[in-house]
Amino acid sequence: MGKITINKKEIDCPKDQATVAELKELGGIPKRDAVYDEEGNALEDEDVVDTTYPRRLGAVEDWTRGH
Amino acid sequence: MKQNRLIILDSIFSAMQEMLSDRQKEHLLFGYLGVNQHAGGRDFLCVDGYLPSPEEYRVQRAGLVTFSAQSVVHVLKQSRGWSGLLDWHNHTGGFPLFSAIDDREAEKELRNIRDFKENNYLLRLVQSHERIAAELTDRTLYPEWEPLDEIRVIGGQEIKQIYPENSRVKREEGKSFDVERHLRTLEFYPKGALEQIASLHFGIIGGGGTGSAFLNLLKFFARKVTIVEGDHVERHNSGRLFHYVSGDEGKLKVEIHARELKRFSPDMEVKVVDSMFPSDESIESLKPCDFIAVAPDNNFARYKAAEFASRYMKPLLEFGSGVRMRDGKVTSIGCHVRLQLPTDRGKCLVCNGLDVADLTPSEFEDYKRAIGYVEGARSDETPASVVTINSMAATVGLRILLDYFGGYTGAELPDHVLYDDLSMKLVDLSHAFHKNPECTICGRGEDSIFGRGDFLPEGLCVPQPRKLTEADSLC
Repeated sequence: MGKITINKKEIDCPKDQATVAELKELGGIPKRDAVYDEEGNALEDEDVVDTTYPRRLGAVEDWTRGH
Repeated sequence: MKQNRLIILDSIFSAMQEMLSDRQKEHLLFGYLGVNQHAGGRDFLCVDGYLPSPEEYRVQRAGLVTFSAQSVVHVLKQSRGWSGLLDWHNHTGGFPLFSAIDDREAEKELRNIRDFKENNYLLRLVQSHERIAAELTDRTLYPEWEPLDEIRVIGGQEIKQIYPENSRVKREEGKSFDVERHLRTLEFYPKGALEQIASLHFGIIGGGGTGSAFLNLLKFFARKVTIVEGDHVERHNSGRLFHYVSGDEGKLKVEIHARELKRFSPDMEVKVVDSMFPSDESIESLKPCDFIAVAPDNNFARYKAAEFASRYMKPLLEFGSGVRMRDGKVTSIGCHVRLQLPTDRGKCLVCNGLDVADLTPSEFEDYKRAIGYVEGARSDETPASVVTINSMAATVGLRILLDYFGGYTGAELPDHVLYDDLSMKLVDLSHAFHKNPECTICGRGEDSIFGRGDFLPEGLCVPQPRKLTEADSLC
């Protein structure tokens, strides 16, 4: 079982390799949010993440302005 | 009262305004900010912006705009080397006020910024037609916001000053000037430009022959100056040092300049720094200034002034004069003035022909003399100088300054003028040198210090001078 961190929240992952979409589901992150890696690169839902070593990813929501 | 200002390139501001004036739908635009924290407040410096394309919005209409999370990551990544993020959106109507949605989203935005970087300023602006409200915060201030007091747009022909609705500064504050003194000037020169010059803070590096000549002219227009000069008055200065009076020998040059400027205009604010640029004290004292003039006796100070002005987005006027002799005959005599503007097209002094072959700091020269490595006093090597060419440099410099603010000639502003005293001709060298887009002082690349302010990103050093090529020496 692998472990990764998204926005400082630890997520257990049953697979050594998981897609970003799968990680979002495991971490309860909304599908429309964007995930980025340690270098700040945006990851696509179909990108595969190796979870066998500690990863620190981030996620952001859309930004809205309105009145 | 300390003030917060945004200093922004005209090209970015204009491109943003084109979008933000949209009356049909809202836009959310971004800028990456350097910061200059100084005794008078904070200047946020913007030389790079991000204007999203319509595809990057999930929703874009009147009353609502949503910027996609994927693009948020891009903006955050780009902001990494900077000290703050500018966030500017428009309302298609009504007042420029931050809504409950904006406040809630700002909290999220700050959290996202924090996750990306230890700390960063968030400067948010909302605009409805021409009216703007603006405020800023960071991790240490939040949930408090401080007003942004002024937006200063730096262009190639002028500086525009815009005061947001919530600014603590009154539009006309500090802009009054002695109209009677300028009655004859006002017959051809715009009043608004005289008011603007009177409201600015000038920093003068070098109070010797040319520096004093420039101060002697600037005093007619400026009301606030900081003078940096570490030298004392010597008898041999008295033949070309403006503001000298008999008996000043041994006094600090800055002291006699302050005395005479105050004598001319008692309400003038004059701050003096008794040290040589670029000492830490001189840098701190010049950071609040709006416009810098440098008239030193060495290229090291010129180079460091170019670097300082570019890093902090300050217009810079640079002076030089000299006499060359061979076999007891004058072979060349003259002066030059260069203008370095913090704009897209503005060239730094190095791109504009500064000879960087020998950039020995003056302290190092003194040290070499102290240990006997070089004989004689430094003043022995000071180039020959005469009050006529110093005064000519000062006149040309002031003329460029007045034209920049007042545009009274209607001609293209020169950024390099040479006076050849032997032929008594002024030569415009503005097109003789070209800006190097890769320049680490004034270029727009990732390794440039342009607009970075106090904090340089990891791995980015203050640049070393480039060696002159043969092409440079043609002029």
